[in-house]
Amino acid sequence: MARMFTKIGKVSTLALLAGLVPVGFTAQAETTSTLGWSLGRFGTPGLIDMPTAEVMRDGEIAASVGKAAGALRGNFAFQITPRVTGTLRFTHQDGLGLGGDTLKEKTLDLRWQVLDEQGWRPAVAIGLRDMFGTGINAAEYVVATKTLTPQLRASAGIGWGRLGTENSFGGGTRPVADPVGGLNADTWFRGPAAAFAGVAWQANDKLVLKAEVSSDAYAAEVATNGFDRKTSVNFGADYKINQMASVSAYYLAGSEVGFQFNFVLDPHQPPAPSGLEKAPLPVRPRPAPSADPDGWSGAWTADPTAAPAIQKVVADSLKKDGQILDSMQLSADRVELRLRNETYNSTPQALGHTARILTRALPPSVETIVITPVVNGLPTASVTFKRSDLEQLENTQSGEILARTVIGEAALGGAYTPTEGIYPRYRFSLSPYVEFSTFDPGQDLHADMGIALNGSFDLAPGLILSGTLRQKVFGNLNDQTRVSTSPVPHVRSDVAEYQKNSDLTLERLTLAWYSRPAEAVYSRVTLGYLERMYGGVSGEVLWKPVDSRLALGAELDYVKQRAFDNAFDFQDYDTLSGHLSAYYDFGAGVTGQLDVGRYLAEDWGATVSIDRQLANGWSVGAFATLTDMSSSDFGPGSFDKGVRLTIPLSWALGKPTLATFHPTIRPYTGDGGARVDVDGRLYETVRGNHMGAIYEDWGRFWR
Amino acid sequence: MSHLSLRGAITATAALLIATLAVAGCSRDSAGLERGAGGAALVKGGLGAVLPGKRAAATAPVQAPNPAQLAQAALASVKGPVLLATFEAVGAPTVLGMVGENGTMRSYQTPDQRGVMLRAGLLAGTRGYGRDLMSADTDAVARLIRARQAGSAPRVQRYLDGNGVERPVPMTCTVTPGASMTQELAGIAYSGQQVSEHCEGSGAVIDNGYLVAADGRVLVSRQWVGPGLGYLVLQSLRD
Repeated sequence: MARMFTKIGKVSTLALLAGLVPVGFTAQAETTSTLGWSLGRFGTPGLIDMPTAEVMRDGEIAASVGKAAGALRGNFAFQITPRVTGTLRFTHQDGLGLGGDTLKEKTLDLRWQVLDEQGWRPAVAIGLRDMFGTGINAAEYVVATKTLTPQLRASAGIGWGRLGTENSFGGGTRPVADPVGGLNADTWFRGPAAAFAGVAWQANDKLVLKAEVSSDAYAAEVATNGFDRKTSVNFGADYKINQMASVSAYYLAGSEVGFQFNFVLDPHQPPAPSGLEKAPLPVRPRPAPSADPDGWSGAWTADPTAAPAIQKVVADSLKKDGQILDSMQLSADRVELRLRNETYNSTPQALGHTARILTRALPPSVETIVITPVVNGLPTASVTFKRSDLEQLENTQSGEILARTVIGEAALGGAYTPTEGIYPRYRFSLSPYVEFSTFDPGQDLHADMGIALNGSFDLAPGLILSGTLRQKVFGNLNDQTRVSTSPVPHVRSDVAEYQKNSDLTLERLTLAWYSRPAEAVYSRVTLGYLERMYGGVSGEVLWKPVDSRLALGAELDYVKQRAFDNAFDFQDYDTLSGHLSAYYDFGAGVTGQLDVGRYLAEDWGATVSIDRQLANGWSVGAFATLTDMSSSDFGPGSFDKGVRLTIPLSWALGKPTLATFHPTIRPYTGDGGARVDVDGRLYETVRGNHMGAIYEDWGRFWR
Repeated sequence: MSHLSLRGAITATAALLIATLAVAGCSRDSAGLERGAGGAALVKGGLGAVLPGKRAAATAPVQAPNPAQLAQAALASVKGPVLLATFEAVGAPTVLGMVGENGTMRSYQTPDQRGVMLRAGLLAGTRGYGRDLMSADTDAVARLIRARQAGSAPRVQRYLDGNGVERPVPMTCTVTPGASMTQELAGIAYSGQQVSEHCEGSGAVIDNGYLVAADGRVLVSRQWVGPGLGYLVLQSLRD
């Protein structure tokens, strides 16, 4: 507890204020914000074609789409750690493919800022551009960047590969990349090198002007599609529309004009001010004992109507607050309640609202308040407050009440009185969806938009029937021409076949039963159409003590492949898949996960994942799976890997809601290392109500 | 039931459900909870954030009602202590009624449940406005201000940063008593002594001002809420 406590109390001042609207601040505070980074044509911080040693803010994500000189590029750049930037890129380039076709490929960049800028020392970075793929655009570089004035920044470096083609020196010949794909490690930093340089100038708040001397000869473009490279000097301008969006224009090689649209998401800077919500009800301090002797003595417990009346008042008040009182047990000095938070993305905020509501409803003799958050019928933790602490510490530094709060295992059983009329409960909602085709070499990107109907029935505590129906409104996923030629069972590679039949689909229809057989042990059994491609039964057990960084789990799935039309039929393929999992909370929102077991194509192996979650609900993670399936059986990319994001809607809107947007981006969808995508796995279900996540987010308790 | 007709039945049911939900506002819950933001709100909110004109429109000051009329109407309709609050950046006054009292702290809320908390008349927090002041340690400066006494004292204000982590902004404040005066605001005459408070620290420079009654009550004040919300002018209509 001490570790988290000091973290919450940590003094950070300008860091907080820098991003917010500077009202009432002096000019000195504002001039510290100098020239920010801007994106280059490869979607990472850079000049135009040349890279720089700049980094984005930690955790930031930049998406960009640009077209120039016959090349259309879509880029997703992630600041993975404060020093490491990763970029996923989709390229369409006229005439550069095999036999003069359009080159269509997806590639990956990595850049490591070895030194940051300090005093006279420039920032220095090493980067790899297009680590995989045909190698046509591949380049490696070492670059230094120095801020000369608050408005002017210069960069200079040496490049290899494509960045070593103009006025190059030394180096012999560069090996040819394997056109089938895979990591091009044998070509990195090989062959001739060349020098490049450039400057970026912040003309005003909105506009950055850039110029560079390029070391890229554009040899392939000149040879194939008539690119006219008149000069090595490129110019660029970046206009910032607002905090998130900007547009760039380029004048390349004295002959070509290009444009780019950039969209930057900074998880630390919500687009909406956080906290556009109803103010909580305040604590109501108890009257003096002389003013309410019966209330203080506990004599009220003799009245059999008192407890049900109190439970009704609390339940009604919680309902207005967007929460459900599942059940409650009340004695003269203690109340315990099970709470379903249906609104707040932050468990501490839900707890804070509930605790304050209780101070307004409970007789004065009740001093101990125990709140157990319940998710999918699972009691996940018990959080114990002293009512006098709530009265004394209302609206003070949040760490003070945390120091007097006890977080422990939820009790098994107990004489809880269920709130009347909450089972069965049904919910329906409509939401829009967007679905993309997988990103494959040589294929166009297709997409559908439509409406999803989500329904769920809580039949009894922990017993949930739920499903999703989707209706396509428009799109072109049915125009896909991809046919899987995978030599192994097509456990994922037939995804296009499912996507082609996307008019009305039964995405999911399951009956799930959650229970907690012992302290710190949770279980789940899910039966039905688990996901678009598989139906069957999935069972899972998780051991996760409330205060433990370590959790262990086991899952066993028997699944059968669903028919391509996404109705009720199945295909012939069925399999037994299962995993043993270990989860570890490294603190500061970082969790690691290791899964070892058998995957859908009956390949054996392991998945390593790292996720980083912010207190505001944002999460960015990466995963990689290695199995005994050969890399040639898997196909391009050799093994399964990808990036997953969780973007809470509350972050985008500033309003409390549990809804999230959670895309997973895979560079290639193969049949190796595939797992069934079952909803509501146990770790993600309980983690948010356990100690690490509660501490992380505790600043919202009095909110 | 054959495969085709089953599919037809699903289509019909789905169409019916979709139509029902569209009419009912996109979601239904038997537990009767108000749903938070849905897809439409996301689109609206997202576009509002991206399109430059939208945001300006959203925060443009609304036609300000006459403060004196508003004050009289509030006093007539709200029982107990009432505040008139005006964010300087917005300009429109709003009425807040007291919803809770805990020691020297009072919680006030607007009819649409936005909240302002005062501790001994000094701002202790705001809720529901976005970028709220989470809490403030003002005991030491409050003693000087209420005693109308010159001096220097620390003050800490706390906010949630973009990540949702609580961040303190510590400052040092100089309190300077000024002239006694009578001032009419929103049709109510206030008599007291002016007290100014100048705080610096953590990159912030703020100037708060108070009109303090002879018994130490803060009658009218202009207090800095935070970097997102700016200054708030508070006027006690009924104490």
